[in-house]
Amino acid sequence: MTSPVLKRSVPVLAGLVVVLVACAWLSLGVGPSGATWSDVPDLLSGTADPTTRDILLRVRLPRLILAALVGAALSGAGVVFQAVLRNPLADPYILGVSGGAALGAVLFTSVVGNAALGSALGRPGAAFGGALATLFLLSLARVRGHTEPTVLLLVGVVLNAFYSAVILFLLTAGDASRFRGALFYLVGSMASASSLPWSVLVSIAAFVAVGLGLLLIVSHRLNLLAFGEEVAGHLGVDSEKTVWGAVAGASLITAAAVAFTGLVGFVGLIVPHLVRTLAGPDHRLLLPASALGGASFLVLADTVARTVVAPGEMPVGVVTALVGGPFFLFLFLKHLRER
Amino acid sequence: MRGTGTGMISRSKVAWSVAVLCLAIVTACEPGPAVPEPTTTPARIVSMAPSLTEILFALGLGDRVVGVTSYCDYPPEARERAQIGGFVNPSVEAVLALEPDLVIVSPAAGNRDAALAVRGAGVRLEVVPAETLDDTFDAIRTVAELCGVPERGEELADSLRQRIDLVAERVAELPRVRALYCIQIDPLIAAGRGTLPAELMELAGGINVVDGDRYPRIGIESVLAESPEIILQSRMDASDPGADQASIDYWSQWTSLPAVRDGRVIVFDGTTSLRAGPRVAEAVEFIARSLHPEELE
Repeated sequence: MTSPVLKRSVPVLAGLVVVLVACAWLSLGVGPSGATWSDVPDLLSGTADPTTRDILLRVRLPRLILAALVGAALSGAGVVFQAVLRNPLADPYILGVSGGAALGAVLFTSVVGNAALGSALGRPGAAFGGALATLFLLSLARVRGHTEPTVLLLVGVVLNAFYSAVILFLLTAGDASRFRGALFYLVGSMASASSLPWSVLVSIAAFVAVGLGLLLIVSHRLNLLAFGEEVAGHLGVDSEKTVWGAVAGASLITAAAVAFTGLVGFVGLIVPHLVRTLAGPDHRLLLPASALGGASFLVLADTVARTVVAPGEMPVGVVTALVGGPFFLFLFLKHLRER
Repeated sequence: MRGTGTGMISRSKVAWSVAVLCLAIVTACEPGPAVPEPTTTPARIVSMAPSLTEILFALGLGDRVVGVTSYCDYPPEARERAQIGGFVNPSVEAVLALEPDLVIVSPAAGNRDAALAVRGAGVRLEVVPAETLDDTFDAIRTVAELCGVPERGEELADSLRQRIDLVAERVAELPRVRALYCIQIDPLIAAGRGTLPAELMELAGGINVVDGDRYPRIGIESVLAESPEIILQSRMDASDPGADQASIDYWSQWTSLPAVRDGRVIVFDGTTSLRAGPRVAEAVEFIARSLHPEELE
């Protein structure tokens, strides 16, 4: 198929790669300490002092990589949920899929503990289980083959409240001194990046790459779902299979994103909507473009989170929610008017 | 099905309602239930703060203490008293059930409502701030006075003051040591300006590297940039034997920190320096010895 979309995809994707590199470069050079871009040549030649080296390579670099992976995953998942549910307000956070994944991850740690390898694979695995369980609960809201968008959002609200309560219980277990740590996980933070072993970053990267790859393969079928499952069926798409495959892939990447960083919200909502204005509605382009855009967005948001209240830090979820809350409201009101 | 009287409200009923309403308004305007004046020295004391519990026991009043918070773990006898819940989330009901004749509380985020409820129930409640070092001496004197043993308060406060002054004198000529007082590693939280640990570190000859107020959540980058010469790591969970090792493991990965290179990450019982109580002198002595091991041994 040599559609106009494919012709357009080269400049769009190339542009977004440039944006991502620019955001990463910005993030690498900015922070509460004096270390900055001018230290990079020393770093490459191996003459940088150990403190600068640690700050650039072991604090900022893993953190921006983690933020990019999580941002790409959450945005990609947002695109898929919006397509499958034909609901512009769907997003893994709002639907409660992130919450379910977070609960799975927290349950895993409280039962198994934090053994190195077990946690690199087990924690995302358990998070995946939690995300799938949430999807099952959401599927119960389907009546006569149709799900009311607002009903779905309502179920998501209830699930989120419930998951937050259970996570808070598990993490604090009545000990108020642990409350702050639990709160950071519930809001979503990239701070753990600098003390996570590289095996965890590699594992997250693998999960996200596999998930996004699978989704890319089915992305042309997501286009047809936009016409409704019946029409898609006539066009030769096995919609049941497509839906389940897409949703499983989206849950996998959501789980990988949430497992170690907690509940970063609204990324899957904001980014696909902005990217759609640039890339158009074709999922073959929208999906990779949103993943790139999401990576840039979260790298940028985390740079803000770790600099504006320096030497203190905010969880990045505060930044995404500050942007995402009003954005959601805007979309929701627009959606109501258009009905 | 409705009662027979509902249809026709008599004049007298209206009058009654108005009267009751007026009474309610008048009562509401009066000050809360009268708090009994202290006539005798208190014999059933509930402490709503770990620091105040330590003060009570240090004043030799331990056998009058009937209730403490679940964080009151010092002295060990304090653990044998009935628990009223946490420091920031105490249970009013548990306090009242102990039938105390004196409840003392130190203001903290979250315990204000409970304290007001205790007072509202007619129990004598005294607010004793215990946050800074100055508070500590005042709190010791106040608690001693409330319990009818003012001279013991003077004695304890003076002896603590002397011990701390002695340390300050001995470190006065020594070079100051850049120090980080860390109370939690995940997320990283340290003692900042205006906190008791920071105050004690300064007295012990240290410079706090944390440039934030209260107990800020800080990034590891700021710590690396400030390069502390010593890290005082408050023990996170005394009941978990693996917790100390977890703190040590965490810090040992940052080898560019002078404190880590020189093996000066010290995990210790932070309650001595986090509580404005009778162990502040012990805390200053310990911190001073940690900061200047050669000069003070």
